[in-house]
Amino acid sequence: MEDQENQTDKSTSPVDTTPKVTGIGGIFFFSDNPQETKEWYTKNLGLEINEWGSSSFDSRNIHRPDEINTLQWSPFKKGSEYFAPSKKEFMINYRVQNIEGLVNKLKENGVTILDGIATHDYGKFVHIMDSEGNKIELWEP
Amino acid sequence: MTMKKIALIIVVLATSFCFGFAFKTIITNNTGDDTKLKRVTSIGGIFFKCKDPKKVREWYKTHLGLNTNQYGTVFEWRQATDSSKKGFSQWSPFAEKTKYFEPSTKEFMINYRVDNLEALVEELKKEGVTITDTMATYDYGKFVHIVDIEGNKIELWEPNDIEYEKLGNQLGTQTTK
Repeated sequence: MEDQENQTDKSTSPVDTTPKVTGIGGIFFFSDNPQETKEWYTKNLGLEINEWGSSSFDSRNIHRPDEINTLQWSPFKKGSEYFAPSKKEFMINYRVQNIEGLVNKLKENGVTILDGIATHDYGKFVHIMDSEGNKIELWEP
Repeated sequence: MTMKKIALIIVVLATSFCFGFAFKTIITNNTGDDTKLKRVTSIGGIFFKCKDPKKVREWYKTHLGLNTNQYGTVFEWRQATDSSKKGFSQWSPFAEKTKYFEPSTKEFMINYRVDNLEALVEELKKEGVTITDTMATYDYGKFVHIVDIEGNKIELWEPNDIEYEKLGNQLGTQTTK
């Protein structure tokens, strides 16, 4: 049963281009002192801080077990412009598939899109606002 | 003479073999004890306050494709160290007036998955970290809450992913993946 389900996942996922969120790609939150906060989490909870100043949690893709997916965790200096125009203390990054299709759908739905899709080596990014003024980062790795 | 030599060599080899085993066991045990406590292994959930949790759940379902139920959604993935094991992270919007984040006054709370909660709690106590409750045990895992250096309440969860998945199936809801 388990195996059958896995096989179905494997065989259907490569062609699944439904524009949607598939996971959490990052959690960012304000801190009065990000350096101290990182040190506290390293010392007490065993987080490893990488060269970009964040901690990276690895998991494997549910559809493609060979694929490693990462989730970035990072405290930001309180008031960081990165969360603007949101006034919240946190921002979530969501892993998505078919970011272009998703942005088109969101435009049709009248969702506030804050920027254009930016393409980097590590993926494509776009920022939107949810129904309560939370800025969201969408990331297609 | 030759027979004696052979016998001696066998004895020497056998002895080194046994010593090798013994040393390997000693070394493994020693280093194992020091590095055993892995503490946090991944993110188990993200919870945040909002004015209208129901509307927020619907918004994320409509626009971003989250498979939400009355609690939010569960993200399903596989463990990095063993792809045969699934892992789950809970995503839940909470009402602004929730007491669940107290004593933290922040707008969010993070749940961290840990390997061995009992051992970790013992360590954290020794280290003087504020622990806000006692460990609660459910079928789907053990939980305890602590406060970080900046007053953020943290939920620590030693999951039982098999039971957690069963619970989701009983609720009849799909995960997001």
